[in-house]
Amino acid sequence: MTTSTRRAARRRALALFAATATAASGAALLGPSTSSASSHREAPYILNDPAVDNTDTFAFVSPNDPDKVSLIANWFPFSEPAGGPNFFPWDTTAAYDINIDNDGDAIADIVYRWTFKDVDKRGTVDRGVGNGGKGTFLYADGAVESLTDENLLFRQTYDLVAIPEQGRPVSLVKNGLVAPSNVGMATIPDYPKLRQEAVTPTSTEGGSSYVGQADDPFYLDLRIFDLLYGGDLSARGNDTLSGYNVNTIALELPKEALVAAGDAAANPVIGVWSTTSREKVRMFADTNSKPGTSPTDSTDQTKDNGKFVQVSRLGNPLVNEAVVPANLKDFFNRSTPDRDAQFLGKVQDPEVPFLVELLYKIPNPNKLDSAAAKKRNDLVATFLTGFSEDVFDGKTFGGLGAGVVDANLNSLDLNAVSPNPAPAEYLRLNVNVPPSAVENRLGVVGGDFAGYPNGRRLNDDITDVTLQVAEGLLLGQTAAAGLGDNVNENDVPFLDVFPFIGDPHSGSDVP
Amino acid sequence: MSRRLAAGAALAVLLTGCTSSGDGPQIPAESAFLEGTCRTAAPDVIAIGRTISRLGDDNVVDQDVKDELRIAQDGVFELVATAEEPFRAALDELVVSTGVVRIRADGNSYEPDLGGLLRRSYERVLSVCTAPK
Repeated sequence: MTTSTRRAARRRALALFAATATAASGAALLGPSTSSASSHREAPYILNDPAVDNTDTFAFVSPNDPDKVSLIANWFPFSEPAGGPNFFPWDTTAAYDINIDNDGDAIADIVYRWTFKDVDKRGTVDRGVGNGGKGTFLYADGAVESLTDENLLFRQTYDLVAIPEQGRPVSLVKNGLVAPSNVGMATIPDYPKLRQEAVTPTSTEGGSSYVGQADDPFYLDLRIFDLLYGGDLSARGNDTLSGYNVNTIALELPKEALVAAGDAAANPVIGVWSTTSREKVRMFADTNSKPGTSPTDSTDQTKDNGKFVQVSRLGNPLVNEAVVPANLKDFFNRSTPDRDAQFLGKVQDPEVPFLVELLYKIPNPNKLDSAAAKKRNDLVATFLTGFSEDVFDGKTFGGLGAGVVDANLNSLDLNAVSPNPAPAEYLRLNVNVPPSAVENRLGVVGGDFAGYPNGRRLNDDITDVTLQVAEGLLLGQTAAAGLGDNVNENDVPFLDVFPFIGDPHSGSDVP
Repeated sequence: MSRRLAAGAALAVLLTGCTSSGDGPQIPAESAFLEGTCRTAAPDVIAIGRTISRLGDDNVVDQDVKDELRIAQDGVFELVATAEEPFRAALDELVVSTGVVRIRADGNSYEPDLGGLLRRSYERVLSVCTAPK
């Protein structure tokens, strides 16, 4: 088969997959009811450090302004809305980063870094109780009507800086106000009002930042971890994350601020991933002899010292959750994209198709009779190279990803500055693909090229896409179309305007 | 439809002991299967054939149908590795088609088109396994 006929055949095949997947998704909507709900507690260390545990990363062209890109990253999985008295503060000793690679070397060219400070007045409240002592266990002293309301006893502020690979950091926001945890209706009667108040312009013209709580936007049935949906894929259809919140950072910037040389025409693709870092040493004070010396101190705090070391990492969803084995998950969290070639074997031979073959005797796609299948070039292209005509032809990435999708979509080899980029596990977004008027939750496999894996939108049904691709949809296994967890939408609607992510559940909400 | 499949289907209709329920596929007697692997596989192949008309048009498939498919698939699967061609390819295709139906049925996302896929695989087995010696 010649290259041109191969391409034509592949285009037809892709169109067929798209049509099949679209039909399947439509059919699924007519099926049994679904609950109205990536990397949550995925690794043995990070599950004990939830404040710095990345749960999801999103990157998409802003649906209401195609000249801008929105970046969203979440932390603190399974935040129970009523989880007082301390609720869910950002960790003041950690650095929360969204990283951008725009020249294809798999090293961040820009790090957007958020750091936090507490303003804690809970130790100053004098109730006239406690035999003269001061302090309250409450989060607020009455209804909180604004971010600066004196009733709000615990608040946080943040600094946002852009750290270029070369050059000096640039301050984008100084002392920005964090929207608090949505404690309950008595404390916070109008969270959306606080939330819009927390949207802060950046020093980059046209940019906006939001930091606060949000509904967890990821929707899936986590019973996949019960021996693959109950041992036989029967335990599906429940949005396990429904009703839980996360802490979210959202940043919207003009696309020129993110692409290489500020030239979106020449360099349209960016790589995006989020990380969290902690200082290397933590010391626990062991003097419990007296309360803190300041009303804003807690007793027996820890002290952190040393250079920052990365403890959590998240680009493509579900990679560290369901591709990387448990014994390597914290190793992955500490790793950097420029060394991702070490994970190639895991990407090429993931466990889910093995389990599906075991349960259903549907052959693992790597047993299909084609070179692309045997090397799982479909998964490599999805997670490590992106899609382009040169990737398809095997001209870049040493042939990794060859022969899968023949379209100039989201590989960094489309950038003039990076004709030979490095394979790396992160989201890849072509900022010149305009947002879809009507989104297909299956993204690219549903025929919607503005969606995952071209970046990731809030609505994208990552679990279904990943299951279908893992089972060989991009290799022509049309039987994979329609596979999914039967959770097809989030439990909370997303917003039409920045920060787009849904409002957090209130502590007053009870099942 | 291939000439082989067409011939097989026509033959199946003529076989003594064949039954069908409505629009369901032909269900030959076990004795109609060729001796050897096909005859050994016959009870499970027939069981799969009988489920096809019971899959229905809904996303949800009855649990007993799902159970029968699983058991029958296991039986056919055990024979595939040692079967000779052309029986091996036909039985293998039936195993995979059954798996595709099962994975969607277990998740309550079954679609009638998948029943058609299973029926074609089933009829291919009949075409090679119930041919005259």
